Amino acid sequence: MTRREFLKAFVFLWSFLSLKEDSNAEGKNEQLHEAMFWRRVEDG
Amino acid sequence: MGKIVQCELCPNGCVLDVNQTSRCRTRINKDGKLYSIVYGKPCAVHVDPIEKKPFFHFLPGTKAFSIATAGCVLSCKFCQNWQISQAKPQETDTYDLPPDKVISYTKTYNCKSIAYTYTEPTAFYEYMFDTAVKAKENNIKNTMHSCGYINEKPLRKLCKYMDAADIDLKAFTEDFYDKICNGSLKPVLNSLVVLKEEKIWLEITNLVIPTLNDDMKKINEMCRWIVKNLGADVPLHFSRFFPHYKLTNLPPTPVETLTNARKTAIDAGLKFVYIGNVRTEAENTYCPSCKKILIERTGYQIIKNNISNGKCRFCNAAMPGVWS
Amino acid sequence: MGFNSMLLQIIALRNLLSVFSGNELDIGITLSFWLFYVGLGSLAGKYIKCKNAFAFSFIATGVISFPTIIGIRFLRLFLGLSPGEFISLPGILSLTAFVLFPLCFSIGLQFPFAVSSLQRQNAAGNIYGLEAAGAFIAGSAFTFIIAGNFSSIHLILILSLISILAGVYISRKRLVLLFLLFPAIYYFFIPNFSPLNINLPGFNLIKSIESKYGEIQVIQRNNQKSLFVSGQLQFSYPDFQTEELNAHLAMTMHKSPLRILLIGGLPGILRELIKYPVMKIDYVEIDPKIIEISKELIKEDDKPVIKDSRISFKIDDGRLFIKNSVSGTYDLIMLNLPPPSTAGLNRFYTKEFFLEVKKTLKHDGLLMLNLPASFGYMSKSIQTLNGTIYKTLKSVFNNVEVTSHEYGKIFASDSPLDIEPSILAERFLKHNLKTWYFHSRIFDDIFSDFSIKYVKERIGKIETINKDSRPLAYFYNLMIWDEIQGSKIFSFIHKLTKWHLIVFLTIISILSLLIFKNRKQKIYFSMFITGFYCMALSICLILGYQAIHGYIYEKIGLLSGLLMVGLWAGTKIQKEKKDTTKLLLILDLFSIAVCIIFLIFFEYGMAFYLITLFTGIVTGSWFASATKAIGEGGSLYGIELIGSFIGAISSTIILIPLFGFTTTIILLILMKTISALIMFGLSN
Repeated sequence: MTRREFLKAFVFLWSFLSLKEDSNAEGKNEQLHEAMFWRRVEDG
Repeated sequence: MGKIVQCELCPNGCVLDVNQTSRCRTRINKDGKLYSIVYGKPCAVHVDPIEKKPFFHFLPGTKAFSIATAGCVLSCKFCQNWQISQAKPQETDTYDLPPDKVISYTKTYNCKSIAYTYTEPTAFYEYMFDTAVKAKENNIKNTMHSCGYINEKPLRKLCKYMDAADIDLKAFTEDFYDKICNGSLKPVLNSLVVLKEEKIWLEITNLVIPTLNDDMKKINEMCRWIVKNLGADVPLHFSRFFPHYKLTNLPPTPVETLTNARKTAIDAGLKFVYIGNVRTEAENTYCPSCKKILIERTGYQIIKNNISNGKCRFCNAAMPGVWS
Repeated sequence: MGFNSMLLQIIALRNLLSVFSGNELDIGITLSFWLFYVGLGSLAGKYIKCKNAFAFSFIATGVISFPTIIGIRFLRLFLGLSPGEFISLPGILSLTAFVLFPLCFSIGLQFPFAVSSLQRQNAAGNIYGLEAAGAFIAGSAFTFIIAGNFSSIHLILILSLISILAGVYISRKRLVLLFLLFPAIYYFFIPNFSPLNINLPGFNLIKSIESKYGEIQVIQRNNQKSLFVSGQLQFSYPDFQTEELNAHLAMTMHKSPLRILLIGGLPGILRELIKYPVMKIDYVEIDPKIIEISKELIKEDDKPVIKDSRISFKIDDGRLFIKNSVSGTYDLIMLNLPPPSTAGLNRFYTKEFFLEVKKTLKHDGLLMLNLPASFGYMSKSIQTLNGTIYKTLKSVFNNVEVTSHEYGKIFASDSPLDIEPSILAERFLKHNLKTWYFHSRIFDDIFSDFSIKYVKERIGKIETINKDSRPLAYFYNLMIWDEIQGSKIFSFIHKLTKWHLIVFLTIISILSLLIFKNRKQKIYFSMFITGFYCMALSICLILGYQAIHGYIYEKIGLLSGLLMVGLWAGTKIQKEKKDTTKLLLILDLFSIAVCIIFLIFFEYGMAFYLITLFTGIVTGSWFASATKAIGEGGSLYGIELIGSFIGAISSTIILIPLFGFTTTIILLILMKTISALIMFGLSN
């Protein structure tokens, strides 16, 4: 097995582990209500 | 293009790109528009004695319906409410409690006032504002416990509906605000003056932390500033530091430091100086003219109240505060 | 060499702990970096070839050690932290990584240099063994003689002197003697201050003594004194608010407590307790020096406490004391301990412990303990921790009651508990006591309906139980720590399940079979597993031991000493066999057997010592045989240490707390099986 294959396996493992976290990022109980006291910043 | 917004609510003045969240964690830029994500979503809802806020000259012996959402405009290393103030709103368990429901619960629990407290109410300004408007319509008083870190314009707008404010004056040095809270002192002093101008009933809380802000010279300076700019009638509460949040390795405040601070404040001319949580005369209110006990307290409980119609029962002197 | 390295390690650890005001995680981090760097050093040592390298590695170690320790003491200043502020995990990691590197690297270099300077057959095995023996002697010397007698600054000077003299002896060059100037200069600059004084300016340091369990310091501001152990705030005196709340709340919750047991700190409670008509109060504290200081503290203000014949001070591990007490002795047991921030403290929050408490209490006896408090809102990590303790108590006692969340107390009893404020107020008033903080109206707040309902609802959602064999509360406490820093490492780890372990292991085994083609690589890989195995198993042993037999410093020292003896003995046993891979295979099988013995005989006293010894022997002889098989030892030594590093860190913070002993050991068995399979492949 070459080093590249090893790397691939590592990336696979990592994505597997981080998958869990992503799925958890869902389901935020946020409710949007327009804020008071703010302004648009002009470009430049 | 042109989708960057700046929040003008507090002195932090966060400039936010699309989908960015403010420092107080409660406001987000969605497609060029700023939104509050905590409106009607408090995570702390309790019924507390008003003395716990602490308000000693505001409807003593009554209960306050107390609410807070997650988030805070500062990040003080000693925060005792860190579990709520430093939390992200998305990660807290919240109640569904729009302003109308707050009003009806306040009535159910027989509370005379609503307290916006625990964390910094500026962080949930819109929710507080709408609730305060409705409360006023229903003859319920509005009170807040705040660090005073808010811009003048929104504060003046809020003052039309607010009845009382307890402001944390955390220290009297810019250095402390900078290093410990990551904020600054000047806007807080300005807010105090604005609240006085708008005739909101004002009390001040000062948490005394060993070595960080327990220099009696500075406390004296602070008290003289209060007397000069806000008047000698403003009640001042010294409270005791306990190791919390990030400052877990600093010992609690020696009681002696607190009694010294109280003495310093009285010498500077303040008439009502209290120390929280110690069974001494420092928890009672005395009449400044006849020196008799007006309100005798034990903890958050009122034992005796000798104020009638806002006056001392013994010498008829008018007592500063909101009594009915 | 081993002696030196072990002592340096202990001193560095103790100093880092007081600087970081640390918990057990710091110990893990320090040990891990130590092993990792020493491992790196020895891997690098293979490539450095020069005359007298061995002697110079001694000198380097001697010269670097002192600045390292001083550097550690000043670390907090670099971070610009406020007094008493705790350091974030990334801060601890990066600073530890930074400060330990030079010293550990030079210690690491010593091993391969020693091997190459000793031109003999199987030198590596012998030196490995001798090093372990040296470490054993140092460990026991520290525990029995040095701790409490020398300050760490002086000790480090002596060590640096020994190191340089050793360098002189080995190189046999007089010029090298010039290096002795270093300790002399260091001596001149001995800073006469302690880390606490640097880190907490504005407080007067009024006492500083070394005890077996850490550096004890007392600081004062105004009339209040505070006691620190290893830089961690234990209690302040007087602190009426805390003392009165603890004492009077507990005394009121029980109808008439006569026999009382207090475990841990806060001597001011005694002053409050003797105001009641009690029969006897036992005050248990493991460190005799803390009892000594506590007595001194109370002597000044509260003389009657010392003279009161009802109080007896006991020097013992709290858990062991309860275990050995006669059943049905006490009316009230109060635990005044910090939250389960270490595996050692977790022993006071497990189901097994609560069962022992229940046995020691009378039938209407009461247990009170502290929970982390919250204000307004109880965060998820605190909910999880408090909920776990609540659930664990409920699994043992018939009645468990909580206070409003600001007060952070929990009560357990087999008899019904009154929490009606008016009844409690009446009970308290009956005694007619003078107090500064506590008062009869406080019960309205402590047991306010609204708050109690909130707390019970919130913590009632948690269903996990904390056990000796699976110290979950300890892990949840790490999650609180995590939350304070705003990081998510532990809440992420928390989501790991056994499936992750299985998948991880499968991938490792497949990879290992595919990647490692030649003989040398395969042996290296198995060496890694062996290092991991040895460290993880010894941590299981130490934690398991202290859960059952109490945290007695000497005994834990003995346990790690036995491991070292085992390692040394292991290097001696291997026979003059040609086929070393077969021997390695047999050793792997033995290692698996040791695990199985552990699983079966976990409960029996002597088993711990024997298993520790065996763990050492199989690892030691594995190392020695592997050096024989490969013909050199430096890299193997390095790989073993890196394996140990990963074994140490993963078992302390992930495997044991989250999955428990059984799963951890089964995992070790599986890993050793992989190693055995590899060896089987090689020997055929």
